[in-house]
Amino acid sequence: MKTLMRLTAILLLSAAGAYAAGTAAGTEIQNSASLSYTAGGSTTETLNSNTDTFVVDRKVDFQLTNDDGDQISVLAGAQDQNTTWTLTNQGNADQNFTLESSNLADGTTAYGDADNLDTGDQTIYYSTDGNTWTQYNAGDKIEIAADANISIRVASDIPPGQSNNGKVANIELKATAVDKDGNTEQATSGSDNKNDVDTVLADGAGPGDGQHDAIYTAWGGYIVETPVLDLTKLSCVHDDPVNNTTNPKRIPGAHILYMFDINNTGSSDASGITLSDTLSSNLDGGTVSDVKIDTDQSSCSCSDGADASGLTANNTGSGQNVKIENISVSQGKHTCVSFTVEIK
Amino acid sequence: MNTILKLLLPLGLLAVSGVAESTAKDDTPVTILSRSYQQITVKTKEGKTVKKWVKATKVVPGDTIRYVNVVLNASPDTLQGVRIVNPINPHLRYVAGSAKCQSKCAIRYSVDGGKHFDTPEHLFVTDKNGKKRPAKASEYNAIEWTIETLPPEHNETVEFRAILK
Repeated sequence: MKTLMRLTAILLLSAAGAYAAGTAAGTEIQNSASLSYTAGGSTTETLNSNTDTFVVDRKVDFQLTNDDGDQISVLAGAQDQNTTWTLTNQGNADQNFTLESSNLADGTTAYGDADNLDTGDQTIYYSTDGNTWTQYNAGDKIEIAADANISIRVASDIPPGQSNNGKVANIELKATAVDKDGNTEQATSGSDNKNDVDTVLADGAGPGDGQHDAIYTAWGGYIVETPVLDLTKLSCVHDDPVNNTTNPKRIPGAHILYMFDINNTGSSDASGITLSDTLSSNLDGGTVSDVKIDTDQSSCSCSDGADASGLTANNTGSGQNVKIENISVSQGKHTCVSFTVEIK
Repeated sequence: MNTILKLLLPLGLLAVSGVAESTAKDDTPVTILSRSYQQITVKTKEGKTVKKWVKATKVVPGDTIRYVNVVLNASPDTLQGVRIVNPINPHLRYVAGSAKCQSKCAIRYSVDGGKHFDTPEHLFVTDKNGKKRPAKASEYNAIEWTIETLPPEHNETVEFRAILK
């Protein structure tokens, strides 16, 4: 019994270093059995087997994922647009990695959408805590502990131009497991020495690489969703000094209602729009009033001299220059902006 | 040595390298040998894929290890009440139902490091909430094989499999 207890104690002592990703590389795994029996009478003999030992080899296993779940929506011309990724070391030892991003070829499908646009100036950043980000430079080696992961961003510039609306720019991020010298990890070939720590490649296959090649790729991307705005300017008579609001006419002293119909036919919402209008010299810029903004309309009209009924806004212009700021137009909707001004 | 080799031949273990030479070094009349093996996939000359057990050397987490203990009775006496106990390394997870013996034996397990052994239906553990529940096979940490008798010039093989965590 004492022998058995001693053996058990040895085994328990070697329990340190177990990871969720597996027993740490280099751990000695020992096994021994004990035997007891009776022979030639009542004396019980006890003896132990040899101790069988092998050393756990290094399993290079990791996974790279794109965390966006789809192409992210961006505006044409937008800069430093971040896609997000996670690189997890699923091996049983600390591991160095290099990173590389690239545009996918035209027609390559990610998240069901075929690529037809390239982004520019891709910059990779990584973070171990999700708060502090470090720019990655080509050739840098990032060491990730067993079971740990890092967050990655690939920031890209989106080509400008309304013609890019609806286009898809798919990108690939590639993580390569490398040794301390930056060389791609290689599986230990040939016969094994049970007392040495050898390398076994166990990484899975990404969309752009095979399994057990020390490389993992993941795909993500961008879809350009640019608002396309049409502006129509309408006018009608709100009132005149003779007829008031009953069939008013455009005579001196009459108030003209200007209605601006801003129609968003693009594929994303628009905001922060500024409307600028220079009034005719026959109008008295000092009388601009009743500035209103109606959002999410199906159309805008000026047939009965009614102004917009929505939010009251300000004319931040001066003189004959009317300026109305912070206008938003939802995708597929009209925003109606109106004001009145008096005829000199 | 000749006797021991003769004993090993019926087991078919000589095909596994390392067993014969290690055994030959031991001149005691009763011995127990412990060896570990792992399964690998190899291609034959004909291009067929076959699996075979080889000495455990290139082992990584998730691999299955087969432990084989061989009791050799090279004495002139019949051994009575032969009891073999094998603690399971904490880095290993026992594979349910894998403990076997060559002939007739009783197999019991322990969940307290070998202090007590019993059959699976009588093994219990206490969970985090202090509740007692039946032990899972993966929670066994020692195995006991009991063989009534082992005649002279005979051997007995017991084995089990475990997965490296």
